[in-house]
Amino acid sequence: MTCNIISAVIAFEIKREARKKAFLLMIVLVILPVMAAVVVRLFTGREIGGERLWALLFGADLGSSALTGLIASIGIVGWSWLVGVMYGGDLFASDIREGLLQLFFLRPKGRIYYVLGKMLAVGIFLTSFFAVAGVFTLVAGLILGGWQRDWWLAPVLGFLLGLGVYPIVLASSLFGILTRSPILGMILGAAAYILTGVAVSLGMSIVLVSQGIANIEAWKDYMEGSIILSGYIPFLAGTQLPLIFYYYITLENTFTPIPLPSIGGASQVAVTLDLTPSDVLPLYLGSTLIGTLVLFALNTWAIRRLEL
Amino acid sequence: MGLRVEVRDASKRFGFKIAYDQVSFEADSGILAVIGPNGAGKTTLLKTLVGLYRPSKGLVKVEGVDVSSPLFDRLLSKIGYVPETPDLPAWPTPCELLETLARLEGIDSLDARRVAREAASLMGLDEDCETRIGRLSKGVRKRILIAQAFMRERELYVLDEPYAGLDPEWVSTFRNLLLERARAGATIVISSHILREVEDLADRILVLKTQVRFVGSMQELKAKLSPSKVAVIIVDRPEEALEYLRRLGYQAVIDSSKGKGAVVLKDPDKAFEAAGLLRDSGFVVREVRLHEMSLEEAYLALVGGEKH
Repeated sequence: MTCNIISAVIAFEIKREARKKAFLLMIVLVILPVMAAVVVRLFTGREIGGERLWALLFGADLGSSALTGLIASIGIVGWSWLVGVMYGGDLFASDIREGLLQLFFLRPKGRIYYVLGKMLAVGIFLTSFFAVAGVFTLVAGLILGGWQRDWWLAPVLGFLLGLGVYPIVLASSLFGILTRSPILGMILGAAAYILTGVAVSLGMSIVLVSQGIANIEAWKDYMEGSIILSGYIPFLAGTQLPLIFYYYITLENTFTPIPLPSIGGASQVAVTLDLTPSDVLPLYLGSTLIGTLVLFALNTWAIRRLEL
Repeated sequence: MGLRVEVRDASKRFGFKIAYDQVSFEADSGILAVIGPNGAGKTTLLKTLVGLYRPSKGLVKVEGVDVSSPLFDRLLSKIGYVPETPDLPAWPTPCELLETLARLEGIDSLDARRVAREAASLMGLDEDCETRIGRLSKGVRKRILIAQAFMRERELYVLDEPYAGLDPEWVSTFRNLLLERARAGATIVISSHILREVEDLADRILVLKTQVRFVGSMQELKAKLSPSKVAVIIVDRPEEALEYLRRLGYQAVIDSSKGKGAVVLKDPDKAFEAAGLLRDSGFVVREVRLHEMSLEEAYLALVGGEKH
């Protein structure tokens, strides 16, 4: 019976998401890189001043993986957090506004199954969506740069991005429940995402500058490491608080000691300049999981005490 | 048998605003009508009965279970609730919504479709069942809300202004449905603006204006308000007739709502005596009749003349 009830909520929710106008916009945004790649490919075949525009634009030594990264940065990664904020703000608040929530809550176990079903539905929806978006990014990369060695990474990282967006969805949905307004949920969710990013970046900049002045060589190493690290985690998402962990690991490798709160086991993490995705994946999934669980608990608490 | 509702010294506050205060009453099988002016706390009280609100003070129990208790969930499949406003999401069809709500009650997916169709049919929604709710009129939406409450045989129906917005041709159908369920032993708590409907339907009346002003049968309510009957004399020159009767010591008023040229005598026993005097003085007396106070008149007298 439990499965029947939760699957009913999931089916209802996925239908709702798929019928939103915003979903059409998302489809356009997913297809856009492929269309842009086709257009660029058509135009860059022409010669300008004896040189191919292709070479002028991207340089001869730009690899296809880097191209995919570039496309992803201006494509799904760039607006993924916006999608999270948009879906989150609306997730529960619109049901409150539309009177649907009270009908659901008048069913046995309605509150618990409703929250579970909605969260599972939005999880399934967003991870599937970003995985598909990853495939489209890959196609755009193939059109521009030809066959890529790590072709499988694009959809996998798209899926991971979907997971990473989840905490943003839940943060915005929490604001949506508390304010009972989808718009306020979106605005406050976006503000929380941006402000946490600004706060962490600002804090770390102060640490970096103060230590970088004392040790220019280490600063240089850090910058190189940071660039390589960010190259391997282009799909960093969720609330921006996990950035602290990334900075911590990066700094751990270059500056010692770091005046940050000690994180259990973090000092054991070996970060080198030939960092691979498998080094950062546990951290990414760990921070996403913790953020998701905390925000899930807060959303459930807010829904349970809701009076309609 | 119907579920037993027990309310003891219950109050609900929203900050400094009191919705209802020290309300006590009981309801069992049969129809209890809750009437009161706007802002009297009717909707809040009805929402408390189904667990959508928790009382700030006092006890609200259904079949001995506190509505604030998690155990109350078990009773929800026995309770049907129709909210006051026909707010519903625009995107699904009535059948999709009803089917999802049926599944949330633990009905498996195949049966849920049948139950949803039957509920839709009960309220004449067959033709609109596959049309998106956003395209349907308010009257149809109201019928969807009624259908979800009546999709199963319940033991308690809590109906907040169910006639408001309902298409006139559906009022009598719905009234018969209510009577049928009441005869089957269900407890029905209904609030309504259509006082005549309540007057005909209800076994008991609860007059609420933040506090309970009256609980009892219609006859008890009328007996409480004296006089319960007045005499109506229809004459050709009502203003002059009124002046004449007042000079003779009769308590009389002109009330055109009771007919053109209607003079209302507060003491019905003196009706024929007064009519004879008027005739002897040259007035044309067209009609003399006794008028029993309607619920609306009794209610207005009780809540201080405010019409809700």
